[in-house]
Amino acid sequence: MNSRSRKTPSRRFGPKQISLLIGVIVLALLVVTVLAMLEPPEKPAEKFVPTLIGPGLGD
Amino acid sequence: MNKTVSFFQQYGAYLALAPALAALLGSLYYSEVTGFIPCTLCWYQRILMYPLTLIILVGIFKHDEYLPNYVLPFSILGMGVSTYHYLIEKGVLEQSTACSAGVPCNVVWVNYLGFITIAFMALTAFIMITVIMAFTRWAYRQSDGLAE
Repeated sequence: MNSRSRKTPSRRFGPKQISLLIGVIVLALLVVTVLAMLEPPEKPAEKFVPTLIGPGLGD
Repeated sequence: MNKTVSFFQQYGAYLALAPALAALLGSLYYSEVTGFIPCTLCWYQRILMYPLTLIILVGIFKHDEYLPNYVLPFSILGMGVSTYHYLIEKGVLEQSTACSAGVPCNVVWVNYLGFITIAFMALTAFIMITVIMAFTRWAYRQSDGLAE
């Protein structure tokens, strides 16, 4: 037997792998939902907003 | 031992994808929905985190056993940047001049439970990805050793 051969996980991308991917996506969305449910504090003042369009330029 | 090796070979990439995707969606939520503007260090962390989702996905589709080698440089660097940013947020370190333009890096947009800031969340995600990928790399090396 070839010494370089070894047992590797199944290379087939089947229903199990798709279910796992969907599970991971759902989990990530769940984390974001929890973040969204946590009430964010007030934003720091608008002075941090970078102004590429300064006053008068957008007129 | 063999079970652990097999587990990380089969599911390591999926386990790493979860925090990477959560971090991607979470940061987009904070910037695009909530309206928090990313600072310079936040952008560096994004540069290191965003590609990970795609790299890990490609690794999953290709069953690439070298995936940890591509992911670990990003996640280890990300850990460093997040730690630095968190220490700036907590006032342990002074912010550099790169942070002085635009949004300062010491602005704490969220501070859940007194310590969970956005940099802390990024650091947690980078640590999770690093640990999972390190175990996955170890698992593949173990099976290399068994085959020889």
